[in-house]
Amino acid sequence: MSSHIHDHRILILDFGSQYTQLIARRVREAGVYCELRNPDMSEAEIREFAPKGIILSGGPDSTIGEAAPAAPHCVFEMNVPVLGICYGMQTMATQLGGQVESSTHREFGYAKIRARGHSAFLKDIEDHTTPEGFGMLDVWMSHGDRVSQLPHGFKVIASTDSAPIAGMADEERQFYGVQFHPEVTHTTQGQRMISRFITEICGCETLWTSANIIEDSIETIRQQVGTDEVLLGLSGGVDSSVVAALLHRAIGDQLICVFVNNGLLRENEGDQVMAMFAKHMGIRVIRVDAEDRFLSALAGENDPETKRKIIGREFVEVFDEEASKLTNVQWLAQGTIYPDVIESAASKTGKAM
Amino acid sequence: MIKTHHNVGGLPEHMKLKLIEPLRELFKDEVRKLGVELGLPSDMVYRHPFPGPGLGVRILGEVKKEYADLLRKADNIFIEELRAHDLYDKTSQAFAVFLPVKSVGVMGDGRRYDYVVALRAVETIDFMTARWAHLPYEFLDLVSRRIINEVSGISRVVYDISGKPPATIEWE
Repeated sequence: MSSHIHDHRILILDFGSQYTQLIARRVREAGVYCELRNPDMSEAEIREFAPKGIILSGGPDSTIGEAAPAAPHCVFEMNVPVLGICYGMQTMATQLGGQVESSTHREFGYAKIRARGHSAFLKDIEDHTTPEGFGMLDVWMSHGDRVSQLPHGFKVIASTDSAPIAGMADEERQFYGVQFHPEVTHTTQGQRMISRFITEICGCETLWTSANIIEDSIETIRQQVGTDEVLLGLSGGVDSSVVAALLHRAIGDQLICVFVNNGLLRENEGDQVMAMFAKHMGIRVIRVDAEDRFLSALAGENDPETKRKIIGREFVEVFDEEASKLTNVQWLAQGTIYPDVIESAASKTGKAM
Repeated sequence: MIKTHHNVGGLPEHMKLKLIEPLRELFKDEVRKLGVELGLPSDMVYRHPFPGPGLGVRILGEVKKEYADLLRKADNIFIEELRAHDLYDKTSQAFAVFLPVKSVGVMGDGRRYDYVVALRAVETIDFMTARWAHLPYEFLDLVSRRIINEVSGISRVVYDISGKPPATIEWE
């Protein structure tokens, strides 16, 4: 089990849309692991990632411009399904021989689209039926450009008045493109479409569940730290609390937490943290009451930014002092979450998110 | 830069600790689900965000123990009543802010100059934009009366009706 929850995975190439993280969350909600990466990822990296399917996100650029970012060409040669959303659809169209034009009919907001041709992507998914019996979908649009000519092998799977090609598919190669945004909740059936793509079209099993993630993490943590001791700064916030609970389940008493009362906590917060983690869960927690130290460091300071820096600095010093007393500790645990990882990767490449 | 974040903290460098980050693949909603699955109480897992510098940025200007103690009491009454009235989960973030100014109040027969607290409650999906929570007047009235009656040193309670943007959620 544990080595497999990452095996069924989707690669999302991020062209910079404000909605890209939502795509990833929808895929995870549907029970499948995915990662967000830059479109400049190399072919070798993509092949090593071995996705069961690839999603090309939306983005602010126009494929008509010369420097328009494109998907690495191998994306279309790996025999895996590809879903292009908004800009992702446009770059798919351009790269496979179709055409994109700037439309005078810009669309922002709700739109009704008509599903056509019973594609594997949209078949039997509808919000309304017209008197003529056509399936209609309420979707969220946000685009200026639109696909004006299908690439060879593609057919239309959805249309609106202002975007005759609002969706396209080459069902043989399992390439799908939609001009609307299935990842936003305004697209009522969006979650079903994403689930349909990753489970039925890409064939992913829905292994990404809390229970499986915990089981997998526990095994990974045990392999990683062995019999070493791990130190964690417990703040009472959600992330460090979940890290504490997870590490405790994985390695029991090899986990040592340090909780710093800086005198700036909410009423009874310190006692509650101790009651919950030390008493109730049986975790080793060292409580440091450092109220006086923080307050004297802050005395006379009025500037908000300086106050933040002082509090941050004092915390590091107090934590450092405690950590230095624990001679067997070899690991420091942190509650970093995926959006922090994405943000720091983006700041390294200088890309605004 | 809007403001510095420090909650990650720094590494004790001389210790040469190796880093372990078991949640680095997870989104916040996944972290919460994991917490519940691991047996943490949902009150804790679904609590509102709390800034790294804590009450340090909810006391405007200089931080003093006296201010922190008053603020803790007022904030606790606000949160307690939000929970009691089933409003906590309907707001995304709620807290009290300490204003180090004194305004006049009449308590019993005497005029007293005491401090002011502001209550802040917002509704938001992503914390990038937020609207102030339209809490019922009766509820605000109850919280205000409890704070003024029970927290000696505070004689005036105001409610923050600024949206983000342009105002931020926190006051500092």
